[in-house]
Amino acid sequence: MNEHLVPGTVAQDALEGSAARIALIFRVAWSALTPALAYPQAVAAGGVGTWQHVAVVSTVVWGGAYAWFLRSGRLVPAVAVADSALFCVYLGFAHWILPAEYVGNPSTWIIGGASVAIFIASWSLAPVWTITLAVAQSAAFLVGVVAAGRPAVGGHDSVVAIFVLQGFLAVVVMRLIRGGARRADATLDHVARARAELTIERSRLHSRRQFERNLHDTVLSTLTVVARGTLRTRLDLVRARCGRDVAILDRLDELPRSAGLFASIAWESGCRAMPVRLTLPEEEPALPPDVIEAVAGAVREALSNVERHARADGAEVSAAVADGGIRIVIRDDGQGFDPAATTTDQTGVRRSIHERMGTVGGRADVASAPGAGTTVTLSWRPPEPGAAPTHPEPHEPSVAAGYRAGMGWALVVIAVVWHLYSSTSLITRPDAFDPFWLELTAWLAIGLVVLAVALRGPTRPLPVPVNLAAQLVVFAAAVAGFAAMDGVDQIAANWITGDIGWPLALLALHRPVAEYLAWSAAVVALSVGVVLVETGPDTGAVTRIVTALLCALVLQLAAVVAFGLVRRNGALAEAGVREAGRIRETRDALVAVADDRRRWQRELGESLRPLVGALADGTLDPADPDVRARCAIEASRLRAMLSELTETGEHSMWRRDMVSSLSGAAADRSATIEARIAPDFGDVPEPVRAELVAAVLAILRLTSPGEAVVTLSGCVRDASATVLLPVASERPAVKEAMWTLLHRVRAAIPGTVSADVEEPGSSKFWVEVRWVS
Amino acid sequence: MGLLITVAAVDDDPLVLQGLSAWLAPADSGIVVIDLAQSVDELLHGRGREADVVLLDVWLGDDSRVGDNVRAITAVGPAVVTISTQDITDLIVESIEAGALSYVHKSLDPTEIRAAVRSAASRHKFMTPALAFALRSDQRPTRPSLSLQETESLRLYASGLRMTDVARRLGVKPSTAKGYLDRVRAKYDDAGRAARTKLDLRERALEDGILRGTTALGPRAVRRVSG
Repeated sequence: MNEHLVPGTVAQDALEGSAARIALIFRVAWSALTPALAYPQAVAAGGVGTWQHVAVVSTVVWGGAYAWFLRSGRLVPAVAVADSALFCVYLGFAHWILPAEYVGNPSTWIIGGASVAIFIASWSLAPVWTITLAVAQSAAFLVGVVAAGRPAVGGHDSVVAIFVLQGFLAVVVMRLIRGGARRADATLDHVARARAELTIERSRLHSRRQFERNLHDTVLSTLTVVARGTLRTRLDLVRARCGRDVAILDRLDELPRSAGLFASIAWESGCRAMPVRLTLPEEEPALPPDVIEAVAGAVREALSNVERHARADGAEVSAAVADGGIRIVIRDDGQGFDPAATTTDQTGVRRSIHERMGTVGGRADVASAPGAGTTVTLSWRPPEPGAAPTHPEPHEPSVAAGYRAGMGWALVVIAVVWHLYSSTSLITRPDAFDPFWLELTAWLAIGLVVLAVALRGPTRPLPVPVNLAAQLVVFAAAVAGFAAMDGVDQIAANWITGDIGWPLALLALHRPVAEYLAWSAAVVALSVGVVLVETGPDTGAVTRIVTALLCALVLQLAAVVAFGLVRRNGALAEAGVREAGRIRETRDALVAVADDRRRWQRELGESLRPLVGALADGTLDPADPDVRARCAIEASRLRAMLSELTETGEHSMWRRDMVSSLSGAAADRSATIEARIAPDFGDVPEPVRAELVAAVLAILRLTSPGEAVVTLSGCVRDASATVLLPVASERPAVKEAMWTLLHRVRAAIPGTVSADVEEPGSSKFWVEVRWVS
Repeated sequence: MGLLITVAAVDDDPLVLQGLSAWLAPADSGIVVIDLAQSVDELLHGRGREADVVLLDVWLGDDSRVGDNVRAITAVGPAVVTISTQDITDLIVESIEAGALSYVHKSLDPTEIRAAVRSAASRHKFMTPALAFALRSDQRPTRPSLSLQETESLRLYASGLRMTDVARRLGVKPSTAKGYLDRVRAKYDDAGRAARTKLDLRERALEDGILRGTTALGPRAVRRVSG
């Protein structure tokens, strides 16, 4: 059971998985298509030779073998090399495999298959290998051309260029996607760290709350009973009890934010019901506060685990200092457990211990066996200088922009390169187009759209109508380009099918992927439609154009797939950053609450310790009426504070401050307080609330010793504050003072304010202030 | 004074139980403490099960729920009055819905608690300011809806006024004001009865084997102890 918080690879693993699946689909699909592409071509050219059978069958068999090699769902680099090598062989022996007139033609199943090989090789190989394989394919292609008795230069150079270009494009796109996955992982790590910090904060607050529960069961109970005076004959009990309570109150103070590690460990050990033997070195190493907090927290978890599960008589905690770091061993001789058979309980503990250590770069090891006790070893050492991990905070918009910018500029580059490459068709064979100016206009229109998007910045989405108009311009240019061709059954036709997919992908960057797929489908339909219109239902021509389209579309399809992956990573990272932000907010809120509780718990300790301490050492006599009265006052204060915490939970620091000042005011007048504050009093508008509380405080200053009852309730529209207070003497003067005060309050609060004073009995006043908006 | 009222108390703090008898039930009070227990189980296995009234701490430190505790005690006979050093709305409301006749704050003065015990001994409900405040503060979505007059009488009673003063401030007769508070209690009793009925139904269903193995819904999940 060794765990360490290492940088996660979730997105990268997911990418490997999708890459393997995509590679598999491309390879198997192309292998399955091969007979359908190869045989019609061969039959139309005059017959199928033995080697053609061998090549087609071996391609199909290889498709099956490829699937078998990737059965584990992971890419195998050697298989990618073998895949490209096989197509190199086909290219080199093209004159045996293809009909003579098709050797050197870019629209054959071998060329398409080789494109697929380069594309899927780029997923599993380093860039240099992908480029090497692309160059090898180009060389093999030329060998095939020369072997067929054709000149190596002139006419076929463009196909050679396509291979190399495809290699480069595949590398660029792949780098982009891998970078995206890495960034997504970094973001996810960030989220995991934030979550772990939140866990720590939660448990820290939890132990504070546990402590409050303890106060209720100990100090509050003791003071209440002493105040009742029922224990006059059992002074021994009171002293023993107060002695224990003082120890608990002492811990309130021992828990400053950055006590030393050993002090914190001693405190955690002292909180236990079982004996904990400590062996700590003299010298404490200088540790960062977050490390102290994390290690002390892990010790706490480990000890509470012993207490809850181990059925041990006690535990042993020892610490050793090494290399400026620390190593702490928590051992018990309890029943132990089988680490292999972990239950949910243990998973929870494991997480809380491991996560704590993990967040500060430490580690935790848990060793146990049934009957052999459990040993938890916590270790932390300072990070190597320079190797300190930096955790830059990812910023949501910048992460998202980063992904879009990468993909956007890559598409711009590809579109421009491909467009320039397409121009070779126009330059080398101007006579194939009629009228040439229309073809040129189509080419320029596509180029202008790409240029305009690039100048505006591909990360800035175009308004939807403009985007649509640009897509229509590109499509219209394609129609015009086809129209200006002098017969479409020629190599020159390829420039459109190969070219316009990229501008369309660029324009689809900020649009749903389905839209891009629809445009691609429209391009395919247009191309096939043009062939059918021009040549009639000629099977040979349709086969050729479909083969050409498939060859041209392989890379574009790959780009769409890549595009989807980049988007997914971007969305993942965006969601991650958002979540990290939310977690951080929650954590900050918890930190504030914990700090606040720490502050008041210390204040409480300061006011209670002298009283309880004096009762413990016998300086104060619990039978003395004055002592009992003091106990009653302190008990009422503590009760008011604890009630407030239990009732309203975390986010009501103002309420607690209010209760604190109300009970303080009553205590100053030797009165106990019963504070009843309705949960909805928080809805009362702030200025009204403040005035009402100020009035109550002022009224409390008029109280005689006894029990004062304060009731506060209200909502957005109305509110009331009442005080029932004992007033034993000078009643007319007190009443007059009260009325003066109430007149002032009435003037200070906007809205309808009524005030009233009742005299229920001869020793009490009841005062009410009501506000209605 | 007729027969003595027998009282048992359940509190997880032995110190609180110490001297409770002398404080709550001096010789002339007509009340006698017959048993002190630190848990409901202990009470039910001792003389306490024969007491007229059981004073039950709402917050025992043994992970038991106050509603279950109240039901367990009333099922064998005694009336229940819940007590606590700290007013916790949810626990008070839960105990009242489970059938406790009153809730009393553990104060210094035993007068109120004695009054509650005497009411409970004759199976009468008893309203205290702390209970009135808890019923007014109840914010559960399932709480019974209260009329304006009922809410206002709860507020005034919780602020420490006597019933006659509450009535005068509301401009009604004291009996009417008391009627408002009684009606609030009746609404909570109905809500509690509905809950109890649901619980009974579920138990019957369990006996019939309809809901087999849904231990997660049980009143008290058995905690697994493991290493």
